[in-house]
Amino acid sequence: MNTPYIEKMSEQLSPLSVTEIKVWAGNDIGDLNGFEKDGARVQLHVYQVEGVEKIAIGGIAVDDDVNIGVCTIIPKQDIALPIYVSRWEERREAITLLVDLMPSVDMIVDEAYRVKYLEPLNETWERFSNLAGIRPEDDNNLRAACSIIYTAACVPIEKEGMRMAALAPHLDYLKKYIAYLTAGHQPVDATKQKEQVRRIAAVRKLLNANLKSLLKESAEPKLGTEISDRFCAALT
Amino acid sequence: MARVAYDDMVKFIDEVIKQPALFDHLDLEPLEAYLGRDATPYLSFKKPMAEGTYQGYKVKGSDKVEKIGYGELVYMKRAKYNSLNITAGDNYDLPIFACEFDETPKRLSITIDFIPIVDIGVYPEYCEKYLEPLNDLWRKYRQLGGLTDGNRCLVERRYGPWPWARASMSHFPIDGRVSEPEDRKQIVAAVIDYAKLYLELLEKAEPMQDPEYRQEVDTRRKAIQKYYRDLDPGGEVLKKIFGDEGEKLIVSLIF
Repeated sequence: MNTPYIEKMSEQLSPLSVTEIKVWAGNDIGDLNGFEKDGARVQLHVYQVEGVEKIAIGGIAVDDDVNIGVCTIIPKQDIALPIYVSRWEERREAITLLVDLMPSVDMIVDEAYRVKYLEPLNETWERFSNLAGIRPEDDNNLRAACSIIYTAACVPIEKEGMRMAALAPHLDYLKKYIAYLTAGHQPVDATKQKEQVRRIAAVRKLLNANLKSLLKESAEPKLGTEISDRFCAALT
Repeated sequence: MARVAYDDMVKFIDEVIKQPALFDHLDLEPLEAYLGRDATPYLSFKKPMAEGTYQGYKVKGSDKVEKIGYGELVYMKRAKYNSLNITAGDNYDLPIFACEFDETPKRLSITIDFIPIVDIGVYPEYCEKYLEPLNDLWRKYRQLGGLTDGNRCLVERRYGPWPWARASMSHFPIDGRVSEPEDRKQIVAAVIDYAKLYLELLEKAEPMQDPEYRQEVDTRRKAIQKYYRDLDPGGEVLKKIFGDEGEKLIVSLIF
């Protein structure tokens, strides 16, 4: 059942010069990577990279029941970049997933942003519309923050090859995001920065709530609330 | 795929507005002109290729509604292009009720939504107030056959080619295509249910108080209206039938 989510996602970071950090927002996160309890095992890597606040890749494997994977890239508040979000919930019979470049601005008012960062993924989005089990993101609150090119699905695993097929959109969207990141950016003006601060904060809050909800049944009973909450905080 | 005879196609204004008495509780006043253009030639029109009606109304004594616009255009007795939109007054942050209901013998293409006039990613309270009430209706109707082809129902079937349209939508749209007669009837029910819910929210709406929020709402509402008025895919057909001025009046009456 073990799709190599963290390994494959980490490979996409190779064009970047990354520094792994063990302290985030004043909190020690180094102890989370490798934490194990009652059959649940945590992996977590948080990186500093030029141009973004952080890149976080994490996973929790719970016995042979579920593998959870999450990857986020939170942009710096003065640079116009979306928020990369990948959420992966792998079980024996199905993989439930979400991947998106969530806008850091209002994508109807800021047409230039939408044309620059979201519309180039139209083709990718269309390609993945044939993914088995494609469906709207089920969390209403999180879906409200999604872009026009998000991909969400509950992929039924009828053949083992479908696992890598389910991972493909995460890798493709991440590759595209990294291309944006390495393209170089001008800082935005104060008004735009204010808008970005607000939206990035809102998305982080929604994503944090979504991850906590995901872990509540699957991993928190084994890991405890403290570890579970710290994992979610490090990823959002 | 079932085909429906022309005579069996939905009579939109009759079945969606008149029979359910959708607006009977409102004291409607016809808009004979809008944005400086005469609307009366379009109340009932008959042209070589198309016949039908476009009607606009305000509500007497109420600033809650800027306009209610609806229309039926029958194209060469082969296709029907119908719309129903409700735009709240400038003092209110209600979403825009939008329905496009386009029917041919082969299929019905539908989009129904409460188009938000704030960025719903940053205003959870707006979602709670105006959009979350759609949750049960959305989950019920998005399962209709045809809408679930490929399991998508989020402006990914019908509005797929237009990113600006997708960007305008809420997270509870009914959007897609159906063909079976029973599914078409269910879509009519969906339009009525969405519209009735909207009118309930309208009843309870209070004016905005915060000037900065109001400015934000105004900016977004104008951006959305500009997109739909300038770029609506049906615009070119309307221009052919009514000319540039007619098309401008009709799209601004609806959007």
